[in-house]
Amino acid sequence: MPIGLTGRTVKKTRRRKSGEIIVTGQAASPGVVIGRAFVIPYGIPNVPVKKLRADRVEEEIQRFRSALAATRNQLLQLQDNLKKKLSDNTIRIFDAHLQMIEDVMAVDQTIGLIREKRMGVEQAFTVTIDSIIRAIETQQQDQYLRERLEDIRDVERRVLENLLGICDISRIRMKSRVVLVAHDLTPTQTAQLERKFILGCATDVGGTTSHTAILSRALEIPSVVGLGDISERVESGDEIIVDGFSGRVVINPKHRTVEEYYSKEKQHKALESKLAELVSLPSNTIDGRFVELSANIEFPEEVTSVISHGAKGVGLFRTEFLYLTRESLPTEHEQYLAYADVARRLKPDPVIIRTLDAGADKFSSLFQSSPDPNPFLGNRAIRICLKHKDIFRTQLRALFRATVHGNIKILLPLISTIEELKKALAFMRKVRRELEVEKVPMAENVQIGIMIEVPSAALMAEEFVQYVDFISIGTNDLIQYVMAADRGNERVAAFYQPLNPAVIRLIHQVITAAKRNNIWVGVCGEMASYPHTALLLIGLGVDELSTSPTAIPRIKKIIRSISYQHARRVAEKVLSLNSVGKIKNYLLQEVEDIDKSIKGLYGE
Amino acid sequence: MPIKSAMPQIELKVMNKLGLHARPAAKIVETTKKFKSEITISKNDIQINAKSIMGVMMLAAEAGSTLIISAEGEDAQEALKEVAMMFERKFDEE
Repeated sequence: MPIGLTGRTVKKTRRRKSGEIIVTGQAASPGVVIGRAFVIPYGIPNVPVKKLRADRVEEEIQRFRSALAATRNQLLQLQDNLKKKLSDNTIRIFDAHLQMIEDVMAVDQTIGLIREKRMGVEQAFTVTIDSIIRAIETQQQDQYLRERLEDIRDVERRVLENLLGICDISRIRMKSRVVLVAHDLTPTQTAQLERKFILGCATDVGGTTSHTAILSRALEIPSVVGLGDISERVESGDEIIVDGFSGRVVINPKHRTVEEYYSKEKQHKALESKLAELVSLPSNTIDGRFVELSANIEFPEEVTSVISHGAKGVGLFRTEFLYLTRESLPTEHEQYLAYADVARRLKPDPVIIRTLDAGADKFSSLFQSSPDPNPFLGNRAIRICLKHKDIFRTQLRALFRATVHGNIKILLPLISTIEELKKALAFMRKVRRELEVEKVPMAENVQIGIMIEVPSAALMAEEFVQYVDFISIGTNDLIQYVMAADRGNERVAAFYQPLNPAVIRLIHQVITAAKRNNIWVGVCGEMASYPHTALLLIGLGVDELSTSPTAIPRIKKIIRSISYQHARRVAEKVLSLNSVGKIKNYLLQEVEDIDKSIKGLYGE
Repeated sequence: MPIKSAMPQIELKVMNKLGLHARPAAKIVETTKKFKSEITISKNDIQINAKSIMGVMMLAAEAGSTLIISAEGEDAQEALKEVAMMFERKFDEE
């Protein structure tokens, strides 16, 4: 998120007061909220320009030193407060900031300007930081380090706030609950969000995998990202609606719109509380078929939400968070701690941990210096791991070591050929043997599975299942590879069709192959998280559905409302239909017939 | 009359695959800060203070690039020795 790098004084365009404005961005975290906006100013505060009298120079330098010390103490305190709340990884962001506050070059240059040019400290400091950032920008080609410039800006902002006596977000005393509106929330800002004061978030930039999105999902705060210039169009105190289902934000909504959303919010809340009754109930169909219902998570912190929503274990634990929000590779020990933590808290329920799925939309300069020209068809996931065996080994060692703490299964992403699978499995055996030699305790049988998300693997599922203990169908990628349509690209969004007959027949083929070989088959894509598609998947015979924690109750509701026999008939009928329109209408009608209240579960 | 010896300096090559990305950069700063000597790193025409994280970020030293490290002060030799070792160990990354 390269933001604010050049814009020192960002002028706010005054918005016309009248009328409701609807802005569409990307839905990042589900839920609907209505509230007063609290806008976090974008950019650096304006700095006073002054020429110091000679006898004021030392005093000014002293002010600078005090501001640095104050900033340092605030950061240390913040870091300490958050230690209990957040993972070590997020906490480590502060270490980089602390190192920057004490940066000898920035401090010396600033003091030099105060002494020689008699500049006021605020101006001297911003001039210094600007020149440093410019120098880094021209020299540094590495995308990751360029993004670290945002850390320098963050530190600059904090020091200036101390010099100018402006308060920052962590010191804002929010009296009432607000909707946060910002250009982007920096990792440190997001980390400070107090759930009880934040109704929702809306930001100018960011995608569904941005830091803001991931954290607001973890904290269950409805949010919409990628709204363009929302932070300039909204002023603190404006009434604003954040619809985290549809990705829409309404500024100064008309009375009627508010009413509509209030009833939507109320409906949603009522439904939620009704669904909450399901938490402790098993996910069995009326005729007694048990469909495992587990959660997709990205952070260890989400385990609380997994349990509170009534999921049985984790069907997909993404591990990218360990790699992507930071500057260096995670050590074996810290990965081990993260995996063991999740496994221990969910024991005896299974935790399926996916090995690193970097690349594609999750590019990191830790693995290569520039993104691929066609990243979704490029170097990603298992392909990166098999190239960087050292990185893969570290993760596998951590995973195997963590297996003693709970029911961990290992999932390999993006497998596309048998040779690749064999290579990965052989390497896993090798790593396991190394640990055995070192006499490291491990669970005896660690199940290893693969994601079926590349058409080449789906078509050959019968062969692939011979080598693994289970499979999990990653519908998101599978659909986009089958349909040749990027689901993030609006221009081709119409071609991203989960219910295209080709997609369904392929999924059917995979499930049939797994069943024939007595291999457990789960689904961990978005398709598992909507009632109508879940109904279809159950009817096709999946053993497990894995969805985001918040979608668990509605899927449990549908499971508990149907008979397996009926779901099978529905699936059979769907397999006979030849167009996406017919299939969709049929399934939605089926779901509505099953339970009228389910319709409200879609949010839209 | 003894000739005043030039400031001790060494030439080092960045050998780790990813160059001086954030972690090695932090490590250089951490290490050089332990010494009293002034330590500078130059690459082409850029010269920076090795104890400054922003400075090291400015270097943009990719894998294979050559750096000149110089030190001045009572513990200059030890400082250079330790920096050289750190480069040789590829910052304990690989």
